[in-house]
Amino acid sequence: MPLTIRKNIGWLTVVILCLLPIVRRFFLLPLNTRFFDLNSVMTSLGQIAGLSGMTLFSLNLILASRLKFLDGFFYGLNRVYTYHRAVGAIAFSLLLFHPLFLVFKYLGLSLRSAALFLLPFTGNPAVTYGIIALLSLIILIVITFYAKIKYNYWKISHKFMTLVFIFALLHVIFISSDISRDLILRAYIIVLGLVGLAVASNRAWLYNIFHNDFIYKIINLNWFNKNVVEIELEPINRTMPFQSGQFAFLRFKGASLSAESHPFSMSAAPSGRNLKFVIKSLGDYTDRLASLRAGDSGLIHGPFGKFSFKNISGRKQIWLAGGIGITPFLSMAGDLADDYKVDLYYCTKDRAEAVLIEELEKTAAANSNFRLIPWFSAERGRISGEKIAELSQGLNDKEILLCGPLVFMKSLREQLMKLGVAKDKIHWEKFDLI
Amino acid sequence: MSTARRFANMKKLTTISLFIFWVITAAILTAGLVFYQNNKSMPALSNFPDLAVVSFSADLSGSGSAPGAATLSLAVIAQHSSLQDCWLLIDNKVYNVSSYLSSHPGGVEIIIPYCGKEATNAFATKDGKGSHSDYAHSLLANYYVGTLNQAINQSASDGNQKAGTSNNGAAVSQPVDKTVNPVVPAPVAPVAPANVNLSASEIAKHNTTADCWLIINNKIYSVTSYLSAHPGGVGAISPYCGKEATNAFATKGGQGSHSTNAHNILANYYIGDLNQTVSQPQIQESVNNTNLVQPPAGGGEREDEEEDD
Repeated sequence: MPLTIRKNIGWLTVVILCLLPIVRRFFLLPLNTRFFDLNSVMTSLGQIAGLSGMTLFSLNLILASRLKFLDGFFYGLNRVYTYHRAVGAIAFSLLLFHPLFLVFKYLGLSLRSAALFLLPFTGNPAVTYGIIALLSLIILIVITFYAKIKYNYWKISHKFMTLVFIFALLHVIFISSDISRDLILRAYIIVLGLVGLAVASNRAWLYNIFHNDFIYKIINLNWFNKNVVEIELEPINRTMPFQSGQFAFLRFKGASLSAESHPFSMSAAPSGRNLKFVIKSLGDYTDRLASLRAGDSGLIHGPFGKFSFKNISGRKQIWLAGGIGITPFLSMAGDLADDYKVDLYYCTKDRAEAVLIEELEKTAAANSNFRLIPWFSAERGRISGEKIAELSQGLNDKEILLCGPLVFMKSLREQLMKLGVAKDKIHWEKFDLI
Repeated sequence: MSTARRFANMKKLTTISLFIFWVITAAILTAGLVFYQNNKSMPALSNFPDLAVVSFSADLSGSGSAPGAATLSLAVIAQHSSLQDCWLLIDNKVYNVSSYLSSHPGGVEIIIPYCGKEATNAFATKDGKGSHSDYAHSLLANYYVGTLNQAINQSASDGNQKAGTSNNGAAVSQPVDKTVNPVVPAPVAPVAPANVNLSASEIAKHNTTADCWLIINNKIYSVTSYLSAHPGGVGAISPYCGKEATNAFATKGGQGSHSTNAHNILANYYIGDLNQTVSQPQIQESVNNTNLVQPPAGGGEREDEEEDD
């Protein structure tokens, strides 16, 4: 399957699943009974907004479930989160307009009845469920988009989306309208909703009980400096197969680390039995890694991601690592096949910060197709597109893989594009806010 | 980069949607609740916007042998069998539901087969699926045109057809109103002398639900047109028609007390003090005014018609 299709099939499926109920609705009744006066037009728009909003809300719960099939379907789990945000915002807007369109017919009766329609506990309980769902959805969305709170707290708040969704689903189940009487439409919306609710609730609340994670045990903790640690784990029951460059969600059953899981790239080559993660303390969570001890068990959910030299057709590649962004390249370097020709730029402040550089030097010495170019900004200034072009003897037909801090990746990507590198030759994988 | 921009766009979409949502919601809630409370002319406790019109409908049966009258025969009803012009026959009463169709929670299409036809059973059983709520019954009453085989004013029903496609509230009240207006002042006009002393014995003459005056705190109120809008029901007021009702009003018949708003509404029906002598035209005007204020919807049109008469 061509890459463009593989990259787009996910969101196309979302669009089709969202349009299906609308199409079904159009075939339920002749259009002249749907759009014969302003009232019916507004009512129709309200119903369409409700149907598609609810479908997208359900699908978005599935997108947030971290299920393995999503990684293949959306070509990388990190892309799923990009869609999750977009779908969430669109669903939210549709759901906001749902009552606004429907209130119109009440305006024709009286302002009073319109106002009562918008208030909870004034009439039909099914409407009240809908209003409760919408108001609490507004609160959670405002927290997500506008409140600047700690990631942890935001994540807890976002789990309550499942409760919001229960009210939305009650609204769908109990509301009576001409479309709720259609069995197919009703079944579609309710089944999709229940599936979404089940997978999202499992992710949010029940994950400690129902999971299919790989269970590993820490056998070695290697602190390179006070910020960076390499954790080596061995499998307890089964080993996780993965492709070099992929990442997995890692959580430890340590006292102070609770069950929070975070994504990290595997840094050892996939050929070995053990897994290695190189982790740098950046936030609250990584700070607490200091409490880890050998013998603690680690639960691993993965692998995810499409960031691997193997997924790229061109064999001449330039790998650009900024600081701790070296981790996927560590795994890839150990996995490199003979027909590739790779220049790895390892950009740090100085040699002391370049963790595991000795290991890479050994790999480079043993493999003539793999060249390591350490770049210490303290000695040589910041790396630039021109320097890369010069040191790698041109950029023509070369694939660029970027991993590092967002500013590092953005700046190099921009410079390389100015030097004529095509957009689809530059590969990166961002994981923020997962 | 493109992802970041997409994310920013999503935030923009969310912001705009939220803004529109709150502006419209706040406007409707303010207009529908706050403004409504302050507007004395509307019976605040009634959730049913056009309920007051029902009382007119009830009086209709005796009225309409005006020139150009038509009879609500089955054949006439059958002419109103389209989406834009839909009459239903329910329990031998005729309802023009054209303007309501698109608001029907059960959908338009379920009503359409009955347009211009007998729909008693379909309405009573929700087409075999249950029964309609009291609220649904009260809504239906708003669209009452007349009883089967009753003569009605042809122009009224024509007006109804035209208005039916444009404006809900007006469409409902308009035709009923026209035929009814001459009826309401009728009990007052022909009997009374030019000057009336609002004595207890005079007030006692207005002791029916078709003509109901109350004495409350030595003030006289003509509440005929309000009766059906009374949230506590007509039955709570009717025993006091033509009588002293101060205590009954103050204590809600021993069950509590009326709201400020209820007091405000009452004030609209004031016609004079006990034992005050007022001229007949004065009373006439007051009674007419009370008729003017009571309908909550389509007030503007109603005023115009009042002038026509």
